[in-house]
Amino acid sequence: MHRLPKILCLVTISLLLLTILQGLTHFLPLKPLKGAYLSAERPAFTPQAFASGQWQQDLDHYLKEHHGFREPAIRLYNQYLWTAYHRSTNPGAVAIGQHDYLFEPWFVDEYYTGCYAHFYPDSVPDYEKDQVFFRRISRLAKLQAILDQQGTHLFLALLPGKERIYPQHLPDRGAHARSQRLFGHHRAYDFYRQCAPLYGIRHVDICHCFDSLRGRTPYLLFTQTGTHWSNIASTYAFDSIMRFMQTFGPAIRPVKLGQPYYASTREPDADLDDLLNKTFRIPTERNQYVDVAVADPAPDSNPSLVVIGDSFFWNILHNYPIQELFSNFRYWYYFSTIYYDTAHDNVANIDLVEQLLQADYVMLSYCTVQLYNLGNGFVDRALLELCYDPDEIQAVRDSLANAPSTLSVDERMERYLEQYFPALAEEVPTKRSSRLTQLRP
Amino acid sequence: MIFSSHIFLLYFLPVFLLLYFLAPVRWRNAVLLVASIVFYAWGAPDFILILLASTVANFYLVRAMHQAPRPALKKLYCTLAIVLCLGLLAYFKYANFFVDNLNALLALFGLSPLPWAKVLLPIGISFFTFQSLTYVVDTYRGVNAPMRRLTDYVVYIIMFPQLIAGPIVRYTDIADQITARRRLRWDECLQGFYRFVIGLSKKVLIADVIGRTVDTVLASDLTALDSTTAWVTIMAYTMQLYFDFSGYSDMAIGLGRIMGFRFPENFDNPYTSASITEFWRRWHITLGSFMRNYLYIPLGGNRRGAGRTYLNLWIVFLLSGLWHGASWNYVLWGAYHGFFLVVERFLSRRVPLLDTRRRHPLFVLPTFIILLVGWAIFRIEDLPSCWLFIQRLFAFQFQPLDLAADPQYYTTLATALIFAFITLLPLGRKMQQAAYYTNYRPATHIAVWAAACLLLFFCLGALTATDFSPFIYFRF
Repeated sequence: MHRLPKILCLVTISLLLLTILQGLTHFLPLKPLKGAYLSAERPAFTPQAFASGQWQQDLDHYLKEHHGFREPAIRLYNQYLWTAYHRSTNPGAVAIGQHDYLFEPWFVDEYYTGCYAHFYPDSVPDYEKDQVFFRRISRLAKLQAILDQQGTHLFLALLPGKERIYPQHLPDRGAHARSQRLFGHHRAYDFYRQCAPLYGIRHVDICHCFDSLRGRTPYLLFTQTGTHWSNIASTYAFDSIMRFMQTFGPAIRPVKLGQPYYASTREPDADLDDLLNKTFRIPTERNQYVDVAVADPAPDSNPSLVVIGDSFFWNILHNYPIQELFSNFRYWYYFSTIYYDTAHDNVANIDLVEQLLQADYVMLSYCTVQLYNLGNGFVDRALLELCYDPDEIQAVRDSLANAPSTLSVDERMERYLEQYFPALAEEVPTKRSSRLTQLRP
Repeated sequence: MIFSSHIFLLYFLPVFLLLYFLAPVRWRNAVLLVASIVFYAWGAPDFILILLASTVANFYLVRAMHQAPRPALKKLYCTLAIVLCLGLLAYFKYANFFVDNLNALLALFGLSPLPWAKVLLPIGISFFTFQSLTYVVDTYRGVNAPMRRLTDYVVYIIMFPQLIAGPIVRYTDIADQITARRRLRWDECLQGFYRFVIGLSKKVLIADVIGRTVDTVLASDLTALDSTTAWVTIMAYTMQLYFDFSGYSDMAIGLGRIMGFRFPENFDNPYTSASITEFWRRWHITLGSFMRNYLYIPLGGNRRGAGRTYLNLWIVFLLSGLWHGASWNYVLWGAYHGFFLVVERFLSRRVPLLDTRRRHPLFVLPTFIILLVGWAIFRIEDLPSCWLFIQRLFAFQFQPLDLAADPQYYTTLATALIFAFITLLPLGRKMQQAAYYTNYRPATHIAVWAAACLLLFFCLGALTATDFSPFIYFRF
């Protein structure tokens, strides 16, 4: 046994060397960590970078993300934090609520302070913040009217947030937290719910629907450890949305929903738990699921759909064979990255007028938390490009760029759009871009 | 490079150990030398040449001193070598401080400030300067002959385990270990590995965890701080500092042991001290020993009467404070400790109960409280903020703590306190002995080794997971 220390020492060094080998070759397939993050790039060596210490710093950062057995090491530590302290190592993305319910932190903020409270600095007076919302809804109504004339049906889907449906599971912020609410309308959702009918905005209020279903369904509307509506709830919700769409637009192929059944958790029903990157998942009730089948026969042509919205629509994409239901389906995620379009990857590169004229339906799909920034700039851009020629728009932008201001050109455009483009001040603008006549003579 | 970085733990250390173990005994110093140069150059490429040049110059000055035929010439070379060591330290560490204060003084008289480009501080300069000094002085005193080979001397000065943060290894303590390398003893290597993992765990799992909350509290509005939070925070900082520093020393001692060196211990349960005098025998022992042998005794120590002894103590602690950093709060911290040492020395001769040569466990708590206030001075560089913090400590506006607000912080702090004071009990002393110094039986070795590997992996997870915060999707 006197050789034992030597054996243990050599095994230790071998294990350390194995870690290097795993980092370099990944010879052992390990379950990857969940979540999206900007990965560090391997730094390029230059004598200057080395002399300044920057290369070493960047390399250490890179190795931190690429070393061997990183995945189980992170999971082990995160499991310890969870088991010992109910703590998240990822508080920026996962807030731990009561009864082991998980939330994205902005849903918690939305409940306690209203998300648009921190979207604008405190220095902006309340009435100005309210004005932003009135401007937006008024422009949305105009855009809807213009698109209706072109046969494109714009509508708004007000989706629920987990904080609204399960406030009893939110992290407790103490008795004073709720007093931080702002404005006449505490929430962006409250504003749109009340004002959409007044402005004639075509909308479907799934949030209200979920509110009334709360506690009355045999399945969870939001899962315990997921951020979005549950798989099954979103399936039923989109069925209702499609029925709503057909009350004003072209027919959609009928779908058949099967009987609900229990199954082990599917993506993305535990996406927040997965994001904690622990060794074991939090034990939860079993979730129910329902299968979707598209009924035959296929019609001659499916309607086309553009969805502009937040991540809630991903659940629908998980469940519905969306491309069998809609031709030319496009998902303009936060009106930025484009999915389901092989020709374009970002809305900055599309001919917006052409795309809108091709669509039968344009769905603005926003949950309570994201409604503070409804459209993410889509409404203004669409309205402008439908009514004004590109050179007219550019001329205004150029003049604004040359005029000194504390606000950026985009901020001034958003705030004073009707001032710079007077035709947009009309109740329903009559001026049209020449692109429109080119595309639909 | 620091021990708790990925590059060190996962790349530098395994590759170094492989090469070191594969190298024949006579080549091990060379491997260690190259590794140490890489280690230092990695973090401070600009300063490696300065470090090497000063080390080489020192080596030849000391050799010349040793060979000098006349005492006067010996003294001259010794003085030159000391001036070289202290000159570098003065320039790199204290020039900015000196010029800043001079400029403040000039501004007071309405004079224009001196133009001055800030000097960057080479990492570890305080430690390798002191090691160089021990080499010069010990050789001058004839305690040891100088090293015959330059490479051996450079290894002594820049050996990477203790280069950055000690322990300060006296030349006389390690000279023979460097020049007469012996075959590795695997049981010692394993002991070294255990010690390294203990040190890493102290740093990563205790000091870093506590430090995050301490930093947050001390960066907040101190005027709004209640006394409970202030006391808990300074207690937490006290633990953070101890577990960080002693953890680093454990890692250094462990690495040294793996390579076949025995470095001196640097900490001996300092917070169980029953007096400030005892504290300085237990805290940063190698610094205390350096100050005693190379400053206090040359100043006359306690051989020139009570008054001179008190003055010497003050000088030693003022300089000791300044050694920790070029800032007035460190000077004040040194003066604060010097004051209590003088008071203790004065009283221990007159009040039998307060005789520091006899240990009274009842005095552990008051000593700890004195230390806490001292660490507040040490931690908060800005003197008005430091004064404000001390006022908050003694405002006696106590609020109940919300332990649920940060359970990890409070649990870790409680764990740290238990470990810091556990040796007050016989059981604690036994546990510490078992963890640090025991030669285990084979079965225990396997269990301890497995636990050490798991702990190392766990520390790696903590280091990697702390900043890993992905989102479900990218948002815009």
